[in-house]
Amino acid sequence: MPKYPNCLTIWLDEPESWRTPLDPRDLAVRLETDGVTESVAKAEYGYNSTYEMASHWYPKMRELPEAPRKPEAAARPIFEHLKGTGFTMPLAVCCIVMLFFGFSLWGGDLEADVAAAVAVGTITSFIVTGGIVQAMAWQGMFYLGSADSRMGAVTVLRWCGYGVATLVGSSAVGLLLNWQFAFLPGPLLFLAIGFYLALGSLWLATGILYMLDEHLLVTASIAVGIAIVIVFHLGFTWPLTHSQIAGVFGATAFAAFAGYRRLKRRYDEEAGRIHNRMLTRTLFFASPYLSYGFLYYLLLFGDRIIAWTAHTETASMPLVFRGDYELPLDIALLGFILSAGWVHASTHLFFAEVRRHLPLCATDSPSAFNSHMGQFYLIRLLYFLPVALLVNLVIWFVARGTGVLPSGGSLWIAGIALCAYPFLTLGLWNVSVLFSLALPSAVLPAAGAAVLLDITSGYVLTRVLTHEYAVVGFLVGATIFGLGTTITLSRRIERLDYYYFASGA
Amino acid sequence: MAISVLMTTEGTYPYLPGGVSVWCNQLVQRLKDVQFHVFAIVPSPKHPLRFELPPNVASCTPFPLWGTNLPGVQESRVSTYYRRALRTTGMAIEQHFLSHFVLLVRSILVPNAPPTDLAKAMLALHRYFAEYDYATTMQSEQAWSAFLDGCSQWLPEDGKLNLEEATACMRWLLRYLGILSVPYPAVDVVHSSIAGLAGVPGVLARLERGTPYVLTEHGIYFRELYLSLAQSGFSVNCRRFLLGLNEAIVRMNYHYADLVTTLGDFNRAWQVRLGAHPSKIVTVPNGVDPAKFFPQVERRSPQLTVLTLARVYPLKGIDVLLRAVGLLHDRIPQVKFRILGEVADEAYYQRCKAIVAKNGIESRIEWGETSDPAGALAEAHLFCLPSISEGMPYSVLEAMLSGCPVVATDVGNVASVLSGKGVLARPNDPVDLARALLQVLEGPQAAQLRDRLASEALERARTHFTADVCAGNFRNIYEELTSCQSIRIA
Repeated sequence: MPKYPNCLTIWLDEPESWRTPLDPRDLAVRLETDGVTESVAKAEYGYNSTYEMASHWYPKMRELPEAPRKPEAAARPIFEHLKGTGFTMPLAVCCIVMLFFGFSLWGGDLEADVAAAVAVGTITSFIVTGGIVQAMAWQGMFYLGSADSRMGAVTVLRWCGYGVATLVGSSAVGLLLNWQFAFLPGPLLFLAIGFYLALGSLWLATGILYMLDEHLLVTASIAVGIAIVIVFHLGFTWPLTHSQIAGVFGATAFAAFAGYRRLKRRYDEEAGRIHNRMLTRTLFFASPYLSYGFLYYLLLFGDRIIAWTAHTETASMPLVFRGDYELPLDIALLGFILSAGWVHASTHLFFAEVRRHLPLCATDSPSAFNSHMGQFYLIRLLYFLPVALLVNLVIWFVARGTGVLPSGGSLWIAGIALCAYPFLTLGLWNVSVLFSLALPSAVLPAAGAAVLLDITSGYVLTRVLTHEYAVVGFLVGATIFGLGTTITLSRRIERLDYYYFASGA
Repeated sequence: MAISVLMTTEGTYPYLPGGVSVWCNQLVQRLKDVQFHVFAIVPSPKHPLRFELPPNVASCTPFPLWGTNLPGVQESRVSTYYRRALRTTGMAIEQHFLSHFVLLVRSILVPNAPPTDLAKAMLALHRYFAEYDYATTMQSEQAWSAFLDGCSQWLPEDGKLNLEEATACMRWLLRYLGILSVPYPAVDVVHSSIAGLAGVPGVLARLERGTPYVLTEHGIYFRELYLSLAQSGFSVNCRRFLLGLNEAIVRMNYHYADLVTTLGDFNRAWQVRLGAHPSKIVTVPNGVDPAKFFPQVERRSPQLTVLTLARVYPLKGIDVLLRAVGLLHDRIPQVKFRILGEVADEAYYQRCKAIVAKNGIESRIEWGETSDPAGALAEAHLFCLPSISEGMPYSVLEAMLSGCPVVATDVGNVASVLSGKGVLARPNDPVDLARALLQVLEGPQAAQLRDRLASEALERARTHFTADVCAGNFRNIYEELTSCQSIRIA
């Protein structure tokens, strides 16, 4: 009777590392590497060859079970929700500081024309850099996730470079246009450009940190910026806007330094070649992300531009900052902050469910998997909308009860915006899932239609009625965005097995 | 007119180090009158060139399997990509792609399907991808559905994939088949350095243009695949799929190769077992440059030193050596062990470091890398290779030519290379390796034994294992193959 071959004792000693042999050749290879060469098989075990020995033992050894795979860690919805809310922490910090000091990293009690210039700089910085940050995150995360850290780091820095070049170039274009059409008087124009450049750089720098999942550092950079504003404005009595530009640049420097340090660490940790791609190719494949970022921020801020440019016949400038329009929107933003965590948590849970359910389905019945995921999606959606609307209703009543929004107009604007935000959040969830399925182009029709209808309806209503009706355009746009992306995603879920395969290719 | 050769590699020359890379480098450096085109399959595009390419290398095309946004050949011009993608409509996929893809899936999933079926499917797909976009086609719903249908239809009941496994398998297929989208240059001979994917261009050229195809195997690709799968975390069904895919490719390579060169009897036995016809197999041993590796007794380190030259990853058995050193305890306290080689598997390296710490042998072990293996061998008193799998390791040949006695595990063709001029130990057996080391390191007779083994091994290496002999053999092979009008294969 031959002794047990070594691989059997391995199974006895370390069953967790045991892998069922696939055929006698597999077992023969393992025997060879355990020292059972032809001569050993003959001399010590009495077989003519290692292969003969493997053939003899294979039927017995294929029965030995492998250790079961470790189950995926259970989903933690509350943790994921809080993690997702962390994304909006910097915004929350700004709001809290605003309550205490009456100003923050941007915004505050400013004269109307100064506020208009600041607002123009702020909004355009979002719209111009939004797509660049999306593209940077997409390409950077691809390389970092492919263990090509060096290329990942270089790619991210390149996108930052493109972003800065775009900011500077568009500022020059803005200067030329203003010289021709005189939208803003000189000092206000430079103020707007100052905020545009500073905030645009900040979004790029914090984009690096968001991509690296360093939410706390983003909040820290905002806190650094606010501290600078407080010191310069209250300590050195600089004008608020100048202090804010200094603060934003300070926050940018902090975020850029922290981001660069982390990228440098990733760059240094492994060797690798920087494999260049043609810029046209990069831009071509990044174009859906660039377009989406642009459209999303246009959707988010388009109504403000419509409101500020309505009925300006008697004003000194073609654009008038409307504080009475801004405040209710800021209050409504609270509803968005509270529901933002849901986007991250729901995306996480959606793919956790995909991974849980895929192994349970056979290849001849992918429809069973797709319909299960369709139900999962629908339930999640039906649960979210009423809850979000209810939460926003509470916010509205609190705002009314505490007198934060005294006038009927403000309450109306806040009410409409609070109705819009759940649809915006829903749209963001859909976008998040579609991006994870590598379908960035699929979101563009809904986002494009949303922006078009937002601006068109807002424009018509504000020109016929008052500037407050711009918020209806926002509601229309957000609803189209939410429902349009829901239809897009629902259709993809009908063949989710296919799209899931294609996304990981 | 110079013979032109398409040399195909996989995970080796000229982007990654290792024995096969050394062999390729020697060949292109020494056959200066042969014009080489190198097609190198690499894991990702991040790998830089590791070897300087001589002037007779007319082109070098890396093909990253992973790490690119899109699978398949990377079109640098957007306009070209866009035109091809536009052309790749659902109807084009239905009409010109699907039937060939179904045949390919069948050839992979059905055990022992004729290798001609796979080759036929691959050639048709290669021609299709010359016109249509690879990524658009392979990521299409039709391709996915055809794959799922194939899995349901052809896999046995006890080996059926679930959807998760099918997703993983189709993603592998999507990346691997990318080589069918590459346009290959027309050459006189295709020479693959492995029987895996890198052999596919040889099969395509053989079928399309009747170009002679030489296949050289160092380690047995398929055998090493078993080892890596046994260490992987993939499910049984996924491992079976990978095995089936690779077995189909290996069999196709053996079927269409005009000549299979092997390193020795161990490899030959495996090649025959895997379907290579014995009449096609010829033995061409590796060789080392004697001008670079020669005895330099005067450079020997004053301290008794055992050298291991190997990349640090599981197949090299560094952990076994460290366990053996741990077992030796105080028997040979004066001996230092130098392990020089790139860390190719960080987790494995950490496991090795843990063994060192556990055995308290930190002071005995020196880790490092070297760009001067000849110098390291000159300083060593003994060379030890504890691998659990090898073809014909260069490091052993280099040690023999350097006059450094060898202790090695009995793997691959090591026994036939040493032919009694070194000490063998059982692989993966620290006790036996410790015994072998003691034999040549302990006692009054040890030095004498080392000297005898070194001089006998040196003589054997100078006769059989020099780079000139090896390169000359391949020059003859190229000339003979190109002088034949047509080599018919049944």
